[in-house]
Amino acid sequence: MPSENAHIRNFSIIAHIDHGKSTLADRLLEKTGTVNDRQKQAQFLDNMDIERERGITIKAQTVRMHYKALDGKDYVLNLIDTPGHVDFAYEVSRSLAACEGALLVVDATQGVEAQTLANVYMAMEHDLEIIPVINKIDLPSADVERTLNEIEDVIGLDSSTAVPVSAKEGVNIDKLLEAVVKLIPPPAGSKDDPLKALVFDSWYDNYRGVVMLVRVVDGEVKIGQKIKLWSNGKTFEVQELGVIAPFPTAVKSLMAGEVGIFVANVKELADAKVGDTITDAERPTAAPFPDFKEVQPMVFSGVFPVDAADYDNLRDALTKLRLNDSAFTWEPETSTALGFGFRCGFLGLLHMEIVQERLEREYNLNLISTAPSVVYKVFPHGKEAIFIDNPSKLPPTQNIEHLEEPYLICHIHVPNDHLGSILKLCQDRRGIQKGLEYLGTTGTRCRVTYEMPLAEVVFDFFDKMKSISRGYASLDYELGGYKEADLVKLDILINGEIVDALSIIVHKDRAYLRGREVCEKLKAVIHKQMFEVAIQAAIGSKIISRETISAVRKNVLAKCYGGDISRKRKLLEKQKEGKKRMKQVGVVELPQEAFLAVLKSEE
Amino acid sequence: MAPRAPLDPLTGLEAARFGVYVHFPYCLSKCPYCDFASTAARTIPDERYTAAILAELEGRLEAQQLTGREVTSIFIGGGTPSLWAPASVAKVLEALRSKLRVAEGCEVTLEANPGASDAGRFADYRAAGVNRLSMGVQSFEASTLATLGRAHDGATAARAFEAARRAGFDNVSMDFIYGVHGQTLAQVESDARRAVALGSEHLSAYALTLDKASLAEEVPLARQLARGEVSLPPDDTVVRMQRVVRDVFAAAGLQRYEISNYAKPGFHSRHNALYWTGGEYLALGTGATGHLRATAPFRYSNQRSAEKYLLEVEAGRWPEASREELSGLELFEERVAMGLRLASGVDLAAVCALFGQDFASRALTVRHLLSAGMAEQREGRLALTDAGFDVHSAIAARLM
Repeated sequence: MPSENAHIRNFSIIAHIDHGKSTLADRLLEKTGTVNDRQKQAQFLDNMDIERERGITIKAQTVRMHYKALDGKDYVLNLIDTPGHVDFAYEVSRSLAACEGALLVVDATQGVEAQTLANVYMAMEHDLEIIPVINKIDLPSADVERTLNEIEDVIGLDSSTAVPVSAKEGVNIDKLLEAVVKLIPPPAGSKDDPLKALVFDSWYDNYRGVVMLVRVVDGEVKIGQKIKLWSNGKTFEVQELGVIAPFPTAVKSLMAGEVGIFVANVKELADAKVGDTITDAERPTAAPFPDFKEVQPMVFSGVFPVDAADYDNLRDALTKLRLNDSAFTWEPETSTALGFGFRCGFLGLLHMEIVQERLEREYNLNLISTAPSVVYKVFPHGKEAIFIDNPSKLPPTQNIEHLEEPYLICHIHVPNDHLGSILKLCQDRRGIQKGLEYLGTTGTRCRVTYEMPLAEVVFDFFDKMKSISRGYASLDYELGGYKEADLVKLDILINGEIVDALSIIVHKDRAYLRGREVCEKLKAVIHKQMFEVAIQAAIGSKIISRETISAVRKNVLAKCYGGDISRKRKLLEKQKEGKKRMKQVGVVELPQEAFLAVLKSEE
Repeated sequence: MAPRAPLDPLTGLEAARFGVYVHFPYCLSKCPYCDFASTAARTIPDERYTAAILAELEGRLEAQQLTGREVTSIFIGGGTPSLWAPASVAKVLEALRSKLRVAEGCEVTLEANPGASDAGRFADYRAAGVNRLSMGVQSFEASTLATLGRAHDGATAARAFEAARRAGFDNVSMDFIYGVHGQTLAQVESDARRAVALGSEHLSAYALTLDKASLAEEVPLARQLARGEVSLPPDDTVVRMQRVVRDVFAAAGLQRYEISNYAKPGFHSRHNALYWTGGEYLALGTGATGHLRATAPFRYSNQRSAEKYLLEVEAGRWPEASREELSGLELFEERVAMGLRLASGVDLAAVCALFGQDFASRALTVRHLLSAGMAEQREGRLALTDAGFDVHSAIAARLM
């Protein structure tokens, strides 16, 4: 074991939502004196507003703490916080790859919940030392014994090293810090080897260009050093190195085992891919980190300004967001119904919602997003296959020889109690069962593997899976290639006109049901108009469903004299404001929700 | 003789450009649907109130430098102004004539309650310079009147009308309410027929409004509605009632010239037309709202409590409860929304040009309205049809 980094511990925290991850992190920061009372801000690690509100971490965060242990030695503890959603599974795996250990936080009043399982298994795959942390022991309903048993039974983890704590009350935080020092191994790399560092997060800073979070595994990186990014072979000169403790602090070098900020005059976020390997330009390491993959958008959705005048603002906002989020892509799109907008690519639905929310909130834009679509492979007669990510671009059926859609290989961990309903859900979603195995010694949980169309997973599968398993099922997946499918385009007509932005591609067997559902949904979200509105679903020229919204019969103020004018004007202004959030399609005003009406089902 | 006022080029309507509104808040009892500033009083402080009006007039003329300005309409509303002593009304009108330039043919309206009026009083009002009476009849049907909490009956209303005629009023208006809970279509038609049979020059017919957001103050009937104790006829029925009223009035030569107003040719209200054409109005009295543009455009409203109003004026203070400056956009919005209440319509392109608003972006909506039969082009103006009037708010909000 190299002595120079024997004092370093790199670890992350894995927890189910609400089990107290952020509170625990706050306590660790306080106990180690990393933040003082003045700097205290609840949930220190979750910087973005959206993260705080949703209680999730979107970007990885890292913070360095100094801790004097009972053995009298000074330790450096690097806490690497990870995103907590399946959309960001790859980012999680890279963050975990930067650690030697992980704290598994379990709420003693709730027991083990499944959301964390995928991350726990991922941590096990990375051979991390996992310390179970039983949280909320201060609550009367806490059951530490049962929680310990569950950790053994459900996860299959040795619970003898578990530390019971109350993050809220600060109980046993010192014991936990001791456990971190004692149980998590120090980093293994040597300072003298060629530089090998892992990029586990990156973002764009307006003043410094691309900033990366790196974990140095071998060697040492210094300011002025010429480095190479493995994936594209580009070389850069290191300009700035730093640690976050908890505010960025410049350092001259980062050595094997350390975690920190890395700035090297990289201008494009696309050059700083998560998972990439940084090495010395002159004296490269022998091999890069395994498992590097380029993150590809999986779902696409049209994003349009409600007010056409906002088009340029939207483009500027997308350009700026893209600087900070290379996983997200965009290109101009034109819709007959919605005018000029952009086709955007996302990792998944949560990613999509986050980007859209940031556009609306941080850039103050009023947007309409169309239902997400996956990328279909279209084989026209006698021509080469083309990819389409927009249902309205699907060629007429007679021009298509066949269609293929992307599949995922989904692994679902689920307790036996909920297995039946999970199997039914997968079956309903056109899944093909590929495996079923019982896990652990007691066999109370299992892992099922399904090949499932991505489109079905995108279509509220995750939420359904969670709700029918009461949160106990967890999902992780890998890409499973393309497969031929009997797909049709479902068009929606409003007063006889096809609204291209509402078209979706669905499996033929589901078309009628979905057509009816969408019409009903639209009827529920479209306000009564001055005119009768007919909503129809059609496949080709065949109408398969219809709903009618009757016209507003009366909307008028009978009496309007001198004393009424201001009040009346304000009422009308309110009505006018409401209309600003609507998109006029022909004579009909469609609310934003209308374009997502196709997304959720009522099963 | 019909009153005279200048022609408003944007709506093609003869409308007062500057008028005076005087509010008299006292009533014998308070009606459960009424959202005007009114006070049920056993004894009316007539002299005290008259003095306050004159004092407020003095103050406002001075503060707004209005002295000597031409007035083309005067409206004494309430409350129940027919409870105001004719001598007091004469005093107020005399003060207005001495301080302002009251134009030839100026319409001078006084609101009268059929239950609180007699021919002798009417003659005195007439002598004081009132040339138009507006009578709050509401209905001739006993059941409807009872529901509305009105003290008079149908026969009294008819007698009051005749009294007005005998007193020399050749320009009389009557107000009606339809869409009342329990009211039938036949009753509405009967009211309309009896109204035209009396031969008044002007009729107003209002659908009962109990929508909280539309009212100036909460009224007892609205509370009963909210509690589910009463329910208004469905919108479809109310629209049918309006059509019946319209047809009966039209057959008698009274044309719908505003959403709720009908008149024989030449007899539309010049004063109310002022409100719908962006005119200025000086307002005096409890709860009165004025709109002046001498300096920067603004609208003010006086205290709605009669006692508070009196105390403020008597203490030499401004009796205003609120004052609101009006931006160019707000004036534009009002001009559009109010202009669309008129059958003569409003020249939307000209209003846009006048207030620097874009017309082109509204043209598509206009085309939709025209093709759907909700609006028509009348003499180059955009005018709502009856179908359009039914959803005036929705249309106005789109074009504002």
